[in-house]
Amino acid sequence: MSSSVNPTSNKPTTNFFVEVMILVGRNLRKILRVPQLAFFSLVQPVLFLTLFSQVFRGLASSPGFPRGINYIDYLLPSIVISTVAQNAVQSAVGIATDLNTGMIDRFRSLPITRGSVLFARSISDFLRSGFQVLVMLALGYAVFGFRFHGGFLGAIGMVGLSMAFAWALTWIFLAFGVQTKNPETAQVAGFMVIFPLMFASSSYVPVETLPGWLQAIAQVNPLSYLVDATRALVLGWDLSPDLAQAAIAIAAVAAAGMFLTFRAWRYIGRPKSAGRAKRPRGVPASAD
Amino acid sequence: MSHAITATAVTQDFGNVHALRGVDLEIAAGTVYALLGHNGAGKTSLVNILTTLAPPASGHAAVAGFDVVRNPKQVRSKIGLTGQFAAVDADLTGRENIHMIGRLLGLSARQSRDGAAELLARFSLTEAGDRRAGTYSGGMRRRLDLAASLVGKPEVLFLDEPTTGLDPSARLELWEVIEHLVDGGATVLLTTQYLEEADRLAHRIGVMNEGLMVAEGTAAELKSKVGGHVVQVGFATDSEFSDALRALEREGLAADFPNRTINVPAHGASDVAPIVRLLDDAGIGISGLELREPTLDDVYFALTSAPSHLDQAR
Ligand SMILES: Nc1ncnc2c1ncn2[C@@H]1O[C@H](COP(=O)(O)OP(=O)(O)O)[C@@H](O)[C@H]1O
Ligand SMILES: [Mg+2]
Repeated sequence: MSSSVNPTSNKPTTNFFVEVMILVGRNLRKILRVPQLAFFSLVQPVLFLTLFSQVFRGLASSPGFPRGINYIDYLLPSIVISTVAQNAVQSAVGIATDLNTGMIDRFRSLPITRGSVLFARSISDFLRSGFQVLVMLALGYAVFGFRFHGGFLGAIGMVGLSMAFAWALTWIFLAFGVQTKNPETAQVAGFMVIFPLMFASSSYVPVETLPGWLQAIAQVNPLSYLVDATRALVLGWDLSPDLAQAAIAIAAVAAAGMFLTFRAWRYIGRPKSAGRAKRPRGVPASAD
Repeated sequence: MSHAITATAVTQDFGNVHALRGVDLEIAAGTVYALLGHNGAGKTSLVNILTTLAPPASGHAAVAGFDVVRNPKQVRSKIGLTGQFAAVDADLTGRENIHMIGRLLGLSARQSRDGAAELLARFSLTEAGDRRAGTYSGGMRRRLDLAASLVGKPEVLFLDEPTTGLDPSARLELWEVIEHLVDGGATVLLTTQYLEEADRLAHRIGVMNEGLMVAEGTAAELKSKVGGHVVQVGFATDSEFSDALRALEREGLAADFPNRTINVPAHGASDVAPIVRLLDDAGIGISGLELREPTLDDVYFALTSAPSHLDQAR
């Protein structure tokens, strides 16, 4: 075939890793450049930590509360997991926005690896969550008297688990975003899922005090497992069931999220994708 | 002789909407081809298939020698796409936009930076190059979009309605840019709703309507389909206009009728007198008369309007 009119033989190629790096750079640059985004990324953890720690402070004087524990050491892991979960909704918004503005079509018309756009989004949002986790820990230390009681490994483990969960959750919300293709819908839908899960969990009250049906939800709620494990890591408690359960929860969330995301992604641009308006046969094209 | 783009019996369905109903296409390398059609004709559906964004429901298509379904990645490495809606990142600067695409195409950081600088200059965006694309005007955004699709030096370039929504001066600027693309030897497929645009930019034109290619050829060939000339008769009143329409219809003279004028396909000056005599005999006054070359509008109207629009006018 000699149709080459711009003869650049041996076209350069990229690889998955390089593509993801480029796209992560792009996403982060956008976050830093849009003042509202950068501002809220910083304000959100501060607000959450302050608000939740003060609102639920009374928990420490409730009968079921473990003795000899500073309330903030007990609550901070919950607040971190809640914040990370809320933040994951932004993945849905980000990918839906890119789908809406045509950026995704542009990326899909390039000879890049399938999935690099999605991985890049999950990583940039994971980095943002990581930043927020660090902000909350620093603030907790400086202002609220938060301390790790599980040693250095406990601290590393707590941060690591929270971040791994953040990354896993982005995939669930990428699926939302790819499916809805609409930032507003994705945001509302994501929030409606996350908000109940934040409270139908072991985050803010002992699960045993919840009504039966909420207990049932809390039992299968990955947030519960993450809160239990990170709390145990912070307080230096026995980790035997919690850590393994949290790891399984993270793996399950990531696997389910990736499956749903890639399934929805396969149908991007494919005309027979679900949810498209069907028109009656023979209705002429709109000409405006 | 090689074809940069071929399509055979390509169809596309959206539920019950048959967006493409069997399109054949052959575009020679190094030429500009215009797909001309109203909104909903199926232009974007075809571009999406050729650029591997959507697989066809049936049929085959190849770009730069590679099948769009079996070898999408090879196709993508040969093409540039400027979609119907400018796909530039509003939060990045113009330079960053081009640079990012260059990097994703595998250019080194340096190649990509040089490419961005060169393209910004070529599209008169150097000054705005370090501003966020969100601050650009519509015309600048389109130029940036086009620049970003060129950074990989594509063999085949797709431009889906590149000038839709632009003001006349921005459109003219973009036309000049597009004209120079061909100088570089690339193959260009552009879609448009504007006849002057196709006439001005394209070597060959395909007219699409309701998912079908209804005519194809050079501008001159398409014009000749209407008979070579058009007698355009204008009327001062609506009643004269409709009387004339009926009178001409009785004589079997097919006619278009935009804005109280009737366009009668003709073969030359000798056809003017009979038309005037006919109307005069019927006692219908005319306000204007012109024998002119057919425009693509005439072609388009003749080809894409329902078989007998005179019937509908009754
Ligand atoms: N995603 C879609 N879902 C349903 N119908 C669609 C979709 N995309 C296009 N169509 C329909 O297919 C037909 C062709 O559309 P399109 O290819 O966009 O035409 P054009 O680009 O010429 O305006 C139209 O009737 C349009 O409404
Ligand atoms: Mg279109």
